[in-house]
Amino acid sequence: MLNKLFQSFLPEITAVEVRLGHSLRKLEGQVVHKGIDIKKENRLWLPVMCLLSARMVGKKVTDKILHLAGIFYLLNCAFYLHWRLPDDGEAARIKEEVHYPLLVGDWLYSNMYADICRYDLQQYLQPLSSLMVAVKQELALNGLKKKENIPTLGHELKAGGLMTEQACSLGIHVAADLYPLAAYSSNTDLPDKYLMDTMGSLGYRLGVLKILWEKKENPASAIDDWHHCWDIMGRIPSGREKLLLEELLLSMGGKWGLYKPAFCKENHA
Amino acid sequence: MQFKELYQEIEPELERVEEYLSCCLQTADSRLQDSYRYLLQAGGKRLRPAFAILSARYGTQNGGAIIPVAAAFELVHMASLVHDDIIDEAALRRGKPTIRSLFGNDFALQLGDYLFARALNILEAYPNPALHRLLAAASMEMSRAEIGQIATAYHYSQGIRRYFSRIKRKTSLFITLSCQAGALVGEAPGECVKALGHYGHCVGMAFQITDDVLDYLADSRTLGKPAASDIRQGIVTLPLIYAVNQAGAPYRKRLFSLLSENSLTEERIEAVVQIIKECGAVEYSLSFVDRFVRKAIRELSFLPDCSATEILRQIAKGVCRREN
Repeated sequence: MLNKLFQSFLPEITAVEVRLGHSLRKLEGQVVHKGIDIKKENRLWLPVMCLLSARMVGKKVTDKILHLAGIFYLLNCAFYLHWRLPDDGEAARIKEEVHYPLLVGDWLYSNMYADICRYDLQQYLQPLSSLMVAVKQELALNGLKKKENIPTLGHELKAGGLMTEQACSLGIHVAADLYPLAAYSSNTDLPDKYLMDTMGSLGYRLGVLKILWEKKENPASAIDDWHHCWDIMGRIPSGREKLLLEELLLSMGGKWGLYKPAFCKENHA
Repeated sequence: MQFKELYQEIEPELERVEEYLSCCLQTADSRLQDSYRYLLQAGGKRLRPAFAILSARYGTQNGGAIIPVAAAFELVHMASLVHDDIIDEAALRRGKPTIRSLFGNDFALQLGDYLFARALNILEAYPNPALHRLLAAASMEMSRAEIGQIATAYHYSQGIRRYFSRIKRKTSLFITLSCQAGALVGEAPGECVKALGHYGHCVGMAFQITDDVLDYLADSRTLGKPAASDIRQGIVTLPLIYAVNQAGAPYRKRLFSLLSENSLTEERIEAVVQIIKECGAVEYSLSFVDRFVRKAIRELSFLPDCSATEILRQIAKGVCRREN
């Protein structure tokens, strides 16, 4: 489902992955690679959404955009490594299944913080740390409820939604590069504020859909979000990025037996 | 010796740090709130906030600005302890059940991350590039050191240089930063920041070596956690390095025989601990503690003569008199 999306950003993603691979090799003990096997669609999702949003604003991929995408890459990998840890009794190989994912995840979070400092992206420390706070609270509740055998899907969906929302919203901001991020919270008339909010809103729903997709959940809970995505798509400027998003939605919908809403067909006929 | 006895002069600031911690860990969910409250009430020496508060005394700016920084540093430290307990599969810390034993590994993992994120959230209000750069570097090195520690577990041939490199990254770097943070935020003169950094490094090294010695010497009740936990997990610390490399031949022969088995039984662990106690490893390790403490105190001669400097001196001396 995501291959075409990732292929569209291959040069940028390759640059990001090469740099992280180099950093990981510096970690003591090559054995850590055993603990950090993350599927491609999981580790590339956030950086690609950031890049896609950035491309909506400008055609040129600047260093700043690449660095922010790199930060989302680190965040994405760390989130997945820390997404769920087995309790002692469940882990057959304690080092590979618990210790290395935990510690490499910690290292990735620190690396993310270091990159924010290194690449002069301090204005993004507040939204990114707030994102981590919100997601971690959701996943902490997830952990508590899991122990009590209470359904936990809602927390995971919210975590996924929040992360994608931020990747899309900040992708717009870094590409526009017009005003400091803090200015947008107090001034709703600034250029690209509308697009930041729109892409953020779309990003949230796409993040939710992606989690549902990954977990092979009953698509009945996805229908509203899926339709809402099409509503939002109407507010996005036409272009290659919009087509990629449409294909993504159609691909998900196809597997779930959902079809492009009629009003959209009329608009794009 | 209780460190908190030395903090009397900065008790008002430390109370403000506790209040700040309590405020910033507020949440609407009662289950999460209970776990945060438990964590705060679990106590701790609050060494890092104390260092930050003391170092702020050398600056020219408003001392109150250090309170959030001190709280953030304590959050980072708490995060590392919560994660350490997962790695160590620890059931107890300071005599109380750990977060992981009460709520599970999954929750403990997320809580540790949450604490780290909260710390960053607090610190983003400080536009001090040096502070952020140093904290980011210290965090990365702490994780690297932990990875190195478990990757080299049960490798008994490790030397002293590797050990010192590991404990520098694992413990001393963050204490160094805690000592410098207040001076940086308070815009103290560069020589003060440098001297405080060197002091922090030496105290951090002494602190960790003492910790490693106590792991062999003290009993579980005094430590508040199981004794000899390092050897149980194959973590090679200074007393063991000495015993393996420099103890008398009969001790080394017996030690090789005990460590050569794939798993260490309780009997073998007790035997290893006994060898450590008898072969001079403790005295050897404590001689390094003494050296680092003297170096730390020498660094204080570069600082103005004031009550903060005296408290730092007493803290350095207190490191080697610790029981837990």
